[in-house]
This record gives sequence, C-alpha cells and structure tokens, in this order.
Amino acid sequence: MIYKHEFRAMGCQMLAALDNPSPRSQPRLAQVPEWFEAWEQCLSRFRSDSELSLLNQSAGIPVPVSQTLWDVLQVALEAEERSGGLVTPTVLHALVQAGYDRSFETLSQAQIGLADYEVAPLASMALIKLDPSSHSIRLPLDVGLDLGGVAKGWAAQRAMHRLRAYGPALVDAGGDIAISGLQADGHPWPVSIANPFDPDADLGLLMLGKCGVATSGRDYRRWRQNGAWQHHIIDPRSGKPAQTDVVSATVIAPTVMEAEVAAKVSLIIGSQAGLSWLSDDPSLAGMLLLENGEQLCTPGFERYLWSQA
Amino acid sequence: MNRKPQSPKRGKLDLAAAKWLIIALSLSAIMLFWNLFSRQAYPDAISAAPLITETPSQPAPVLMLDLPPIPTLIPASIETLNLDPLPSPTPSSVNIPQPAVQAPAKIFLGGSKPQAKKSAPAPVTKTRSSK
Repeated sequence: MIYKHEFRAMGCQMLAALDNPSPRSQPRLAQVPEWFEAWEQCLSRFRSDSELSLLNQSAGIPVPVSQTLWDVLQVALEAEERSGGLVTPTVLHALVQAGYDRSFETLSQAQIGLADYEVAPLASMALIKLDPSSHSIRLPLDVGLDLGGVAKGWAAQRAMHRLRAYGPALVDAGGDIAISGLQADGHPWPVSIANPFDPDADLGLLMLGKCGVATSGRDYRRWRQNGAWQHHIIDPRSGKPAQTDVVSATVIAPTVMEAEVAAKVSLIIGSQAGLSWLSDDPSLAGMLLLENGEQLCTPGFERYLWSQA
Repeated sequence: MNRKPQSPKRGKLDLAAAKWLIIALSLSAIMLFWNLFSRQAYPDAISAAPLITETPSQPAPVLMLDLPPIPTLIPASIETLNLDPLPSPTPSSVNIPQPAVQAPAKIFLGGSKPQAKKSAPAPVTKTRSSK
C-alpha cells in the first residue's frame, strides 16, 4: 500500500510516498511539508530573512551557520569538484543579471532588463572560507550563493532517509527524486520522464530501485528578457544561461545529488560532450533530449526503461 | 506257386486314385468347416443383413464396394431383401430443443497459460525540470 502526500515547497511541486500498509505511516508523511518548510527557510534566496539571504548580505565577514546550511554547502562543494566547476552555487549574481531576481512564480514574463549584458566568469567556491571548527562561512565581497538544485536534491535525500525507517520511500522534490529501494513487494518504482514538447506524452517510463534520478531542463524555468529567452541554468564559464543543444537531461545515479549534478553538467556542455561525460562514469545512466526532438541515451540507460518483455 | 507280377500300369492307376481321393476328402473337410464357421460368425446376418451397407455421412478414406457377404453354404434369405430406397428426410415443424453448447475451455499444454502483454504500470511520479 503506497501512501502519497503532495505539497508545494521551494517553488516546486513536491511528493513524498511511503510503501507501508499501516495507517500509522500517514502522520509521518504529513510531517514532510514541515521539514521542507524548515529547510526552505534556511536555504531559500527568495526569502529575505532566510539564513542563506543573511549570509549573502554579509559578504566579507564570517557568519556562523546552522548544521543544515553547513551540510548543504558541503554538498555544493562536492558538486563543484565532481563537475569540474560547472555546477557551482556562486551563480546568484549571474542569475539576477539574467533577470531571475525573484521567485519564478512571481517572475514576470515581460521582464525588463538587458538581454545583451557583460558578465565575468563565475568565482569558484574555493574562494569561500569555511571554518569547520565554528561552522562559519565568509563569502568574498562579489560572490552570492544560490543553492537551488543542490538544495532540492539534498532535501529529497534527507526526507527519504527519514521516511525509509517506516518502509520503502520515494521523495520527489520538483523532479529530483530520491528512492530508498524497491517497493515492499519487490517491484521497482515506476517513474515517468516528462516530455517538454508534449505534456501528455511522456518520453519513457523508468523502473527504479535504490537510486536518485534528476532532470535538468531549460524548458520550464525560462523567461524573456528584452525579447531574448533566458533560462536558469548558468554556465559558469560565461556567467550566462548555457548555450546548448540539449533541452533537458535526465540522469540516474546512486544518489539524487549526483544525478542532479550530472544532469546539469550534460546540459551545460551540450549533447556530444555531455553524452561522453556521462558514459565515462559507469555509475551514471542518462538520456538527453535535443532541440530537434532526438533522444540520446548512454549505453546503460535502456535497462531502466520499462518494456513489455 | 507263381504269382503274377503286377503290371506297372496298374500301380500307377492306384496311386492316382489315392491322390484324387485325398484331394476330395480335403475339399469336403474344408467345405464342412467353412459352413460350420460361417454359421457361428454370422448367426443373424444370413437371414437379415442387407446386401447394401449404409454409406457413412463423412467420406470414407477407403473405397466402399457393395460386395456380397462372405459366401457360405447357406444362401438362405438373401433373395428376400427389401431394396426400396429409404424415405428422404422432410423438414419438420416440431421444434426439437437443442442442448446449450458452451465454448470449450482452452487447455494450455505445458502447464502454464501464455502470458498476456503486460500493460505499463502507472507512474508514481514524474521526473522533469523543476516545476
């Protein structure tokens, strides 16, 4: 028996599912939105009183941070290392310059701003001073943090860890999905892949056990800035939204954080390099959807796809 | 006393007569037993069996010939057979109730049913760029 609880948090649609026939599991599921609310209050750049916003406003001075913000920054640091600097939280100012200066739900489609603007390549997290003894962080003066995708992946993983004590669990944080293992009856969890070109026709159905799966795309969080389309995935090398032939990238990895990073990298560097980058890591399986509708898959991706046989 | 020796011609005649006698006795014995066995094998057919056998509705795999029964020594009543043609069937106005017939149950040899094509399970959720 799978109980599900859907809610909105972090500007996204969330879902928590628990495979447990006991009605006692339902109150546990009902707690999940509270967890996300607490994490959002800590990690959101759109709340002026969040811990992250206070940190961004305190650039240049050491700021003691909570265990949650500390943990997420550690995950972001690992993501930057794993991606060779392509996935970094130091994208805040680039996103604001591109027009993403408020939550996407309130972002106007007629955003006023400069479509053709000059920005420098982004700073590395190596410039951020982290003091483990005091859990304090000092940002360089010209650096701001946006934890967006990393925070969602981390939250999905953390919520799944808390739920799995009560049975097989799945947590979906806006498309970034953490799965604790097979369902109670031994079957994998069916998870479909959204089709950006046709909401009514999914690209495929994944059958997943213990893993993480994430999709990065420039199909939804995009806006017009003086007639030019912008999106939220910043290429740190240019400081601007990534110019890429990939519309969306779906990756399966051991954890949802790894999947999120890999999906973003393969989208930023484009289809050819992205597919090669994914294929070099046997723990990853991915599918890239191109502008022309073509789908490119790594060799291991097919084994996750549902088939009649 | 001199015995007149038998002539060779007389000896040959005796031998031939004996041969014919044996043949005649053998034929008589065969006819006798034939008659005896045919009476036991067809106690009724001799008096009642028609000469023409009914042709089955389905085509027989072998050629049917209207042969007379095995010849016996008792032709008996064969000559009294009624060879009139059978009356042709005519449609009847009486409704004869027919038993309800059900389709035979399918039997799957090998002990297991063939697997029907599986339908895709309903997805629990969907991965997509964050919405």
